[in-house]
Amino acid sequence: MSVAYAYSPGQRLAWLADRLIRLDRPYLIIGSQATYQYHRWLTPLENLALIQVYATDTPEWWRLAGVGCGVFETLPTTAQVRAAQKTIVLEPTLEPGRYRRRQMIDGLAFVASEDLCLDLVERARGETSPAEVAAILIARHEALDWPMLLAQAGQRGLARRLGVLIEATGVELGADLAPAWFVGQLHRLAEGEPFSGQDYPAVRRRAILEAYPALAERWGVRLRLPRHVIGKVVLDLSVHSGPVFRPGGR
Amino acid sequence: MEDRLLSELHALLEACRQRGVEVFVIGGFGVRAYGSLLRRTLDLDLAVTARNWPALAEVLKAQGYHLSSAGIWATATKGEGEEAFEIHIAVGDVVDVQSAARYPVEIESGVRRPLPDSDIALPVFTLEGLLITKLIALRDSDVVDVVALLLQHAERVDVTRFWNQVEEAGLSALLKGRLAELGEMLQSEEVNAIWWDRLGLMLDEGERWTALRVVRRMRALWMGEARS
Repeated sequence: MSVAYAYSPGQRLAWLADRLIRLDRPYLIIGSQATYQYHRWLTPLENLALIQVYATDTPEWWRLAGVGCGVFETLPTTAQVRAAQKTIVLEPTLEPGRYRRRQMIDGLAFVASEDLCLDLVERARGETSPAEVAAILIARHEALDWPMLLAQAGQRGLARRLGVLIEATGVELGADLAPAWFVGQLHRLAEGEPFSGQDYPAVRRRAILEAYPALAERWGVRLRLPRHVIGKVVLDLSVHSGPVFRPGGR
Repeated sequence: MEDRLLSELHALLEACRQRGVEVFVIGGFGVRAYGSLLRRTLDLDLAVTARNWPALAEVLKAQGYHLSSAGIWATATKGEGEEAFEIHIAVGDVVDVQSAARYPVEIESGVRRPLPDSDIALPVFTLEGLLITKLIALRDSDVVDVVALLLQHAERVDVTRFWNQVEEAGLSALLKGRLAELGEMLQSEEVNAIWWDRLGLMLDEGERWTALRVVRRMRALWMGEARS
């Protein structure tokens, strides 16, 4: 039986859990294993896990490696991942607040969905990260800690980019995704952030700038995101839940 | 989830085989049949010629699917909630919404390829046909798929067949532009950013140049440099 895309992380990540129990140190599962846990949309690479750890603990974490398992502190190449049976990538940037906000699932510590959303907003250099932000927001909108998301977006200076993605997702859904008070306060935070003048996401040259012109102007972001990116997420996520969102406001 | 999808797909393909209906698996499962190590959505996409569509529709109805038409796809749905299945079917042509470019299914000879880590063989597009459908759209997910296919099958791409199929589809000008664009992405940092954003991995220099060599080989034949 294939476990690659099982919803249960205990089943899907049994290979990792076996190694984690040998080390009694704080960690968070981040990256595609965490995104899949929250949105159940884009599958993770089967044998790859990103683990955020305290920098001071890094030497300890090298003990995770075993036969056929590669441990990296920098991003591995595709060829390196293909060559190893299992791959663990350590990101030594864990900090206490983020660890306190963790979510335990099947005994495994995952980054909070709110932190993960902001990680994706921050790192976006193509179409995939914004799509995964939309997928998490849609799949988790009833469970999200909106005050915490607001506070963290403000601290990280991501209010403009988060705001435009939330409202673009709302356009594709035909419904308001976030509570009105949240959008209002996020917009006030955004007004306090400097306008970068950079395209967002940064890399895609071919995508037109005019996909969501009113939203881009409202949030002060040079948004370079074709409508099919979030539209595909909405289409895919509607398969198993009917219309993924019951319109309340729009 | 994937097990249920594969089981459903297997049953559907077997029913098609028994009725003599030729159908192709495209989308994520179609690419996976070529062995790519990638992230995907777990949706089912099929392609069928216009001639074979009525017979496929009958098979789908017999399997309990409800059929509807939505834009460029016919959609077959069955069940509800977590148990739901939805299949998108390209009838007659695989169409890219953005460019409105069409790749006629009739052109495809197709091949059967085993799906890795399963005991199912899937009827899929030829490598060249699959590359054409991905290059037509060239969204980030398509860029990753094309580069992965070129890396894994660098020596197997039949460039003559590729251009014959492109010309038969009337897509020469579009594909020439798309290959030029892909070449630019591979020469610049853009492909690395797209790869990293999608997979969380780096594309090393060797991989980038391998893919670029194949793209150049494809472009060279179109420009007549290799025709002699």
